[in-house]
Amino acid sequence: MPAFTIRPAVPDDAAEFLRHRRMIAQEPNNGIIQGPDDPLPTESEMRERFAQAAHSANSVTMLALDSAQHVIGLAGLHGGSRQANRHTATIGIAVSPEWRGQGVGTALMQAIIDFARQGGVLKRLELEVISTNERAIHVYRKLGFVPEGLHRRKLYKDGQYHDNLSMALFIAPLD
Amino acid sequence: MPDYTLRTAVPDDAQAIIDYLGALADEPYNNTSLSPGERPYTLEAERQIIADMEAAPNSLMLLAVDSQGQMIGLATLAGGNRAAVYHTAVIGLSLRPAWRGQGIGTELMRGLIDYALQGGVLKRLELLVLTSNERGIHIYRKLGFVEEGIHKGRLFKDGAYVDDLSMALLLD
Repeated sequence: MPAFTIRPAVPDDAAEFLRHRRMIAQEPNNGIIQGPDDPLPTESEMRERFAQAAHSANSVTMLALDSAQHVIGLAGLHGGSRQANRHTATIGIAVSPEWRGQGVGTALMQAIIDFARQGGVLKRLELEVISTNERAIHVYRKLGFVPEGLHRRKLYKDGQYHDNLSMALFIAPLD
Repeated sequence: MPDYTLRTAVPDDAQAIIDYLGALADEPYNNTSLSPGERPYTLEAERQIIADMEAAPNSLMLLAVDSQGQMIGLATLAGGNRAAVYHTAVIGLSLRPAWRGQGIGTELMRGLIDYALQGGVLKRLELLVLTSNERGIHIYRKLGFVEEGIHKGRLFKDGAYVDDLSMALLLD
């Protein structure tokens, strides 16, 4: 097994994080919302965001790094900012093509879930995935995510519409 | 018939919208993601939101105003800002309590849908509504919105976890 490590992003990761985001954005059929022509945050915006996240119990960015400390995958957890939704967080994830199918996605998701449990604020983690992305759906199901709905024609990518499947994981009882 | 008109919001409406949303937030069982005491937008932020929505071909902020020009309802169409979701917009809808149940919500929704049809950019309008909000769901169904799923415990309102229903209308 090739070695990789997982840890939360810090301000000094901003440039390397953006390099990964740019690379994934250029990839055809990348399975995520971000496309080649979409704007990305600046490095200073990302530094600021990572600095603020250090104090958050419901939001974090996790990085997967290879042995040379290059980012090979990332996962973001974005918690709600209002009283009504701060127990809910949305997940986004992307892994470099050459590292897919080797457990990086599962490890990133597990790190996100562990962070969410430890924070003590979150109860509900949610995500959307293109309904034909069977590998990702398999990972999410294995971790306990349950399907909630099918959002028709939610994305238009690579010349066609795609349906999104929404899934959720409950990490604490809704009492 | 209630006496009101619909018009597009301009940046100078920002304070009226902030006051309107504040009153809505403070209303118990208000069916939105706002809770008592919450004031999510500063005047400057609200002005920017309105200006951005005015400029975007896939977004619209529509006000219902009474005969004195006071704001009585708000409907928004927030279009996606990335290429994969330019064709998708999220709807928000609310009315002052005294003006509910008189068809104004339906008219605001028709205003959003007409804008979307005329612009030609939007192909999917989506919204979330509390599963307990029967009046809202009735309006959306009547206009052709279809249920897509239930998001359990997505909001915490008035001391309890409540479920959101996803609905969407596909255009052409």
